[in-house]
Amino acid sequence: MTQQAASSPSNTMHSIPPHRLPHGGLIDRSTPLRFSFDGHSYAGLAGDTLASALVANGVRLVGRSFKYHRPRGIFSAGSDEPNALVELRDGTRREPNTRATTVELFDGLTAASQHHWPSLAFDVMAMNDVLSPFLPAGFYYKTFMWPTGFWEKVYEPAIRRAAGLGRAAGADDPDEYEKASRIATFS
Amino acid sequence: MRIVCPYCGERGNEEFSYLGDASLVRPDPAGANVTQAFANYVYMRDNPRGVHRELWYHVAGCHSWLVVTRDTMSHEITRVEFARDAASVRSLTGGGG
Amino acid sequence: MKYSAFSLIYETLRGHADWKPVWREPKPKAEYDVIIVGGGGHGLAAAYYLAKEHGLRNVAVLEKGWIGSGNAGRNTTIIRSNYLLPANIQFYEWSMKLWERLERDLNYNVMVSQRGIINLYHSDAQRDAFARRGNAMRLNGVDAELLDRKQVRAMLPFLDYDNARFPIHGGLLQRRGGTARHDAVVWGYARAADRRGVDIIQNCEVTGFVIRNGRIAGVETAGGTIRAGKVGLAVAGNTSRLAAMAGLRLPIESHVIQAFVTESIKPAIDCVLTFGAGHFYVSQSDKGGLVFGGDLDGYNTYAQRGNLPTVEDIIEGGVALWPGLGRLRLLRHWGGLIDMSMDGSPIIDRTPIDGLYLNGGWCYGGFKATPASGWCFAHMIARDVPHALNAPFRLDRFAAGTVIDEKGQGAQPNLH
Repeated sequence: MTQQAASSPSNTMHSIPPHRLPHGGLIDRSTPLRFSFDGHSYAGLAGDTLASALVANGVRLVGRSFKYHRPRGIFSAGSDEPNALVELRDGTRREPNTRATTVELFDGLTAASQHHWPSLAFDVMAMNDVLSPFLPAGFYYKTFMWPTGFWEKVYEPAIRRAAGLGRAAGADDPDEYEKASRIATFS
Repeated sequence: MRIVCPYCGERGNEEFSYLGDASLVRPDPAGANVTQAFANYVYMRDNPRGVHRELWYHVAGCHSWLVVTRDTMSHEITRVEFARDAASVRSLTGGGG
Repeated sequence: MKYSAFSLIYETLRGHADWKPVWREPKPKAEYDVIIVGGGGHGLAAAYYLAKEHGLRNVAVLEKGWIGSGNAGRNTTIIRSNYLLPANIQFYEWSMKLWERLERDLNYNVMVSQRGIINLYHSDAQRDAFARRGNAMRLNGVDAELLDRKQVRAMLPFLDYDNARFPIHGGLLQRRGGTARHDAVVWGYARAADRRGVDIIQNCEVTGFVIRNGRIAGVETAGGTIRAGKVGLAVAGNTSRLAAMAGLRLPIESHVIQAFVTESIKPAIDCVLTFGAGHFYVSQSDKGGLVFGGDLDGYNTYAQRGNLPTVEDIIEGGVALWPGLGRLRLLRHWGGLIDMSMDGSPIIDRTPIDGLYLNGGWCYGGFKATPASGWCFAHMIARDVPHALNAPFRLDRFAAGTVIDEKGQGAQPNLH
């Protein structure tokens, strides 16, 4: 059985993650970090990405697909991640559509899954998957035309709410940034 | 896109402002068909896909007017010269740009 | 087959086995009454209206690539008629009226969304200029409202109202302006034209014209010569090149304009918004991405791509206006090849060659014009006289001095 370092506070939050290897990898097993995903607290280690920390904690469901709301987990280990898109941070610094595989875990990280209602585990919009034969590519060009005026008042608002993945913060970014330019030779 | 200004060296195109075709020749106001000639000069353009000689002004640098020879498809620049040099070559060779 | 919820459900139950191709792919005939060169929105719309309004069905649209691969597929989907000069107001307002019935006319959901367009102003002088434009619109029967700062803030609370350099003072609103789904416009017009007998020929580049005694006789293509009684050009940024094949020089420069879309997010903005202190405009597609754009790069080009300094300028304008944009990710970015004219206004006219007609000079504003442009161009070609709506857009207006210069910038294409 794998054991964390004796001084780790993670013992007090969850049981030791069963998916950690005892040795190896790029993580620092002597430096535990705490983070929260969808409101639950978890333990991670320095050097984890958010994705690896979630996998270590046995969290496999992290999102829903765009159209059919099929359950989605962590697919890759890097910037090519198509599925594990989360809202990173909350409040004015919230970043939607952040790939969990490219976020370096930091102490106090909060993240939330996107694009489901009412919850990730039970998503009513997964009804789209059941109805998928009626919703082939481009189906919306062939319908939503009647009655006149319903496109703008009824269909479009519903489609817009169903579309999109994460939510923009909607407020000013309070941080300030340095700007540096490196000119690429590019015509 | 990088333009090599003869005074200032290689700079990004954002340091320059663009006027347009450098091959236009201002008609002689005392010449024949002056109205049509001026209408063509002011409004009509070749607008080629390919090599284009054009006027750029180094507004964020030495304020030189430059004639740049550039391909409008690849954006490759093959020649940059001061506009006054291009103009004196033109008057030596007698007319058309 | 008519598109509807019923046909969608019916076809689903039959395993989607009976859908017909949206348009045929015929081989070109040896001769047509009319050839339209250019299979974008304007060319396909012209072919549709030739068939529908004028009964001309022996028509072909020749497209060098795939239909809609030019600017019809590259624009930022905005439709509006909030212009200053009467010739423009009346033309674009006719286009708005055609947009409002387009899905019924075409039996294709082009997703016209009249969600409103707001042009922000940032100074008293700008307010006065916008009031003047709004009054010009109202004098021509077009809806316009001048909003103050409080009214704009009620609609768009997340903008930077107290920006030290460019505070938002208010905006000019056209409620009937908005967006339409650009690809659907191309496919809708293509399907409707095809159903009326128009041949749509893709991968067929025109390489020359057959002209006899000052009259058009046909076009040359890689696949051979096609004879035609009349030829109409609707090729946007390639207008000068095609015109040169007929020995014509035009008051046009080809430029690039860049456009961008962010990754999809939940609804963040419900209208079309333009910045008054820099060239930046943004709306949100129904899929959730923010679609935005701004200035031209500013130099002659046929490359359909621009340079990084312009990207930076445009995004700076966006973040100055809406600081929250900074946390979003850019998904895609591209350029369109546009025909900038010498007064910023289009040309729909005959040419000195009998039977050869020109529709170009649309600058970066061609998408909203699609229905009216096709409608007027069809009238022009079928009757050989302009309709009152496109009569001001003559090719000879430059020499005559009757230019239509919205921005008042003069004969400098990259400033329009």
